[in-house]
Amino acid sequence: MSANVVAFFRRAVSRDWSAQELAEFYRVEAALIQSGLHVCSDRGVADEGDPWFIFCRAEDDEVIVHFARIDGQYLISAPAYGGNVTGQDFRTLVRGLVERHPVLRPARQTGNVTWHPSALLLVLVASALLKMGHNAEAAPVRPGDGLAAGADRVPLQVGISGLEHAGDTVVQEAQQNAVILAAIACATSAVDMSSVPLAWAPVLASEPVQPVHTGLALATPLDTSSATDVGGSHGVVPASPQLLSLFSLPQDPGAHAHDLAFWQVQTTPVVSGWGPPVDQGAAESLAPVATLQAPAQPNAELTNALGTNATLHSGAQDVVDSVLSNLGGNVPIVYVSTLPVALSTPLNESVHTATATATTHLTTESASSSGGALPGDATTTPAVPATITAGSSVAFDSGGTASVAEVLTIMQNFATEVGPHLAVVVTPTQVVEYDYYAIDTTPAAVTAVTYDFANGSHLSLVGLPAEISHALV
Amino acid sequence: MYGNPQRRTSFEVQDLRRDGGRWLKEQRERAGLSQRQLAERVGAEYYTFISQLETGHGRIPPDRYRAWADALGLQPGNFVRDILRFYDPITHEILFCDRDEDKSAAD
Repeated sequence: MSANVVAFFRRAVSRDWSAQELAEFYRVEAALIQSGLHVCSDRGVADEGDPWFIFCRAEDDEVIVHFARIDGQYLISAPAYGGNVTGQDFRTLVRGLVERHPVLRPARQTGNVTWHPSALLLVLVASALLKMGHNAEAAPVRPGDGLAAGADRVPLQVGISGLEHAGDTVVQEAQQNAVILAAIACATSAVDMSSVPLAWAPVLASEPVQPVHTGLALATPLDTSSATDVGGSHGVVPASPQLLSLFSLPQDPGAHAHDLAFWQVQTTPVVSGWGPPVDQGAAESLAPVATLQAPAQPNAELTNALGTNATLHSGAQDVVDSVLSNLGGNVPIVYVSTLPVALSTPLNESVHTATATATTHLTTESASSSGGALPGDATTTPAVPATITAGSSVAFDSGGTASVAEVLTIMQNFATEVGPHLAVVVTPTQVVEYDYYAIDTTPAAVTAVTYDFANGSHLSLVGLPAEISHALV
Repeated sequence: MYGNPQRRTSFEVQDLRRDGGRWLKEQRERAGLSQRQLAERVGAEYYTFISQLETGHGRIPPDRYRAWADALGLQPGNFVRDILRFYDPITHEILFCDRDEDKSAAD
């Protein structure tokens, strides 16, 4: 009886998924369906208020993965993965499962593949489905078994439309990889789910599939009829006008495909914000979809093309050239026409602190502080603060090469501090070097430093105060 | 893997599972158990699984039938007979309905 009373009180608390969490689930479902995987989903709230969400195999409604948040702890249960995992950090759980059960492998053992958090969730679900499919396929199916006709006679294989039983493990594995990659491509298409009503999510399945080359082993090539293969290890240029429009490039991707040899999958502002409802941030995940190997030498064609077609200001152009050559081979550099909201918001709403050094005019920005110094570290304010003018921007004369070198040194330091979470985004007028993990997980703690050039371009570092302060030393 | 052996359409399967879920919920409420309590008694590792079953997704593993029957205060044979109506209707029909007809014919 007393237990029933406890249950009654628990029932009064509702802790459903946040809109961001649901959007990410539906985004994954839409991408899976679009890539030909037969999945469906459902969700509910237990009698004590804890939410759950499941992905099912559409053919027989078998549950592929069960996600839940029970008493504040996330749970992921996938029969194909052999058990349950629980923890406070949803992304860590997903990443851990994917890493323990690798389905996609780099083409080279030395390859460094870093999945976008949203892609990780997609890989998790797709992999679980494919693993279930293997099991179902192994079960004998007698001819004429069952009563229904038509599709019901088709054996339960891997739940992939058009995927024939290859009878060859290698080929089948490659097909599975292709399906997952296609799904990832769908998930990373230029659709901002944060601005799309949830009811529209299924409609996204009508979007065309855009293959993405991620440097992974694919024995069976993807259908590249809608894309331009530029060859080499940096392969397929998405041909979607929507994608290209982000880059302000000409409409014919083929004519300028060679300019995009160092193509990087653009980071779509996807919804994140995994966490209890009381802690819903509007942060957008800014992690790169996959880290590609950069060319050994800076790609002058790309930067020239970008400068020509997108009118990248010369000050930023210098830095982009140097970033490409100096930041090493594994830093994702993403070219977009406008900054992702999660970056532009702290930059635009920050308080600027001007300094009056001889060589640089530095503005510091903080998403959370109103003072000039970076939060928690008084040593991070370079030189002597002259004035603090909210919302103002101080011109920076970049004429001397020494000042650019100084900026580059700071960017190098910052890259070292941030390490594997570093990414760079480039717009026609701005270069932002940022810690995508910090922005995704602790957006309130993120601080920015911006160098404003006289020609209107800007260079920014966005990360944790300690990272920036160490970079400025 | 407890796949559906009936080769029914997905809609039929889903309808049956939903009916089965409603029946399970009725039995749980009749037994005065919360979903968490039932999960503990049947050895489910997470109680949202009970909520999932009650909305008609997934099915009880056969090796847990006896635990479920005990938790719900039902005779295991009766529980299996009833749950098979939703999970395996053809087997249920052969085992129970046909048997009843045979018995009536014999009488």
